[in-house]
Amino acid sequence: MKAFFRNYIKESLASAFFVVCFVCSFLSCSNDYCKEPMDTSMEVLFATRRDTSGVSLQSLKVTDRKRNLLLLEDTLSCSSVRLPLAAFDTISEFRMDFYRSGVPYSKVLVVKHKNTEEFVSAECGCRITSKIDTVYMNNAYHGDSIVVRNKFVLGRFDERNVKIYWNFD
Amino acid sequence: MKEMSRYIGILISAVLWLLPFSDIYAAKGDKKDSRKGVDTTSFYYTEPKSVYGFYVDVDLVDPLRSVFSSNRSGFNVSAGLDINHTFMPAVEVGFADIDASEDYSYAVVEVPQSHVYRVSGTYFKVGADFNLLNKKPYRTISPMGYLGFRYVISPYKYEVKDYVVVDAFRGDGKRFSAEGDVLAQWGEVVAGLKTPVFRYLCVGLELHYKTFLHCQKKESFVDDARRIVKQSYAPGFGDFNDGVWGFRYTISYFFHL
Repeated sequence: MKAFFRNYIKESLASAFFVVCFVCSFLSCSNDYCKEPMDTSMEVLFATRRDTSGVSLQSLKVTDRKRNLLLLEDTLSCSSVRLPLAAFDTISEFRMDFYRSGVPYSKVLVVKHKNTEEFVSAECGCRITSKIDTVYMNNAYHGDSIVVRNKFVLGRFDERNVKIYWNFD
Repeated sequence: MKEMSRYIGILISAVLWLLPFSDIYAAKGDKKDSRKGVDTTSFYYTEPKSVYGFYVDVDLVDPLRSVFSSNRSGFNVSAGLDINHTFMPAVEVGFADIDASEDYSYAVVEVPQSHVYRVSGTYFKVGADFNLLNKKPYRTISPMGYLGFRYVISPYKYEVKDYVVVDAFRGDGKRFSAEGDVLAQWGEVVAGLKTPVFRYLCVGLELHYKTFLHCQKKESFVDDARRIVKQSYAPGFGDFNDGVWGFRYTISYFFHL
């Protein structure tokens, strides 16, 4: 009889453990939300030869040159910008109008890229990621230069795809 | 659905609480492993041997889910060989059909009502369990509290239909549909209890921790555009995001050899 109760208590504890786990697994919350970055814009940093760590541009306005579509208008100064590459085209052209030390500038940034349509998950749906082939400015001043630091545009935070070194001097 | 799940949980919990009163404990002479005190007239009596028999288990969770949810159906059966009441090599096979499109609730873009993400296929598991409870060599069948592992492979079909890829800044969009076959593999750590309730009829509960998931990405070219389909579900695994823990509630029969 004593052994029976000892067995009973031992097995009860084991059962209780599993019942708790079992009920918890039933009641646990499901994570039906999207964890992947879905906004896959190209990050462009601004610098000069003198100040390679970064410079700010004032009143930056970015327009899709092919469609004459305003993409961004920032009245504050900024040292980087995220530009959405064309999802269904392999060439994106951005006209960038801005001020630097009170002087207006207008530049056209051309990006050649390859796109990938991606089904991410049931929760996230689809997104477009890109791989940068070539970047150039078709009206660059002498001395402007561009560095492609990361050719994969996957929408991750702090991706730092392209860095433009302006020649304002 | 969640309410229903809760009731099922409570019901099964209640059954589990009754396990200690099961048939095996009612038998006389099972307190000692030594020959002395063994009831040789017991239904469960046997001479010690290396292979006692094998279990065939049927999982009740998947069929129950199928009853309460139209989005998924499936079944799962397994077999395990009882060696010395200690070591149990096991194989498992299952099928699942999951319509995961209902989970599309936090999408960045609107999608047509007709959108579908469905996975369907079989999965195969091989592995072994190790019984941690007292072994009773003079019994044909012994309650088991075990730890084990599984290697799982699942070849399955997927269908993605009428999702939308958009260029939100320019207002462009097009529909995205794809289907094909992929292969998923993963490992599982298993912990479980199994006990006879009447003769060789047993009930059991297993918890699975799934890990080392690897699933193929499917790549193709459609109209010169590169296209990748990542999977977020697999039969036997469920949702990759929150399917890490799984469980089986089994009814099994022990075939004594």
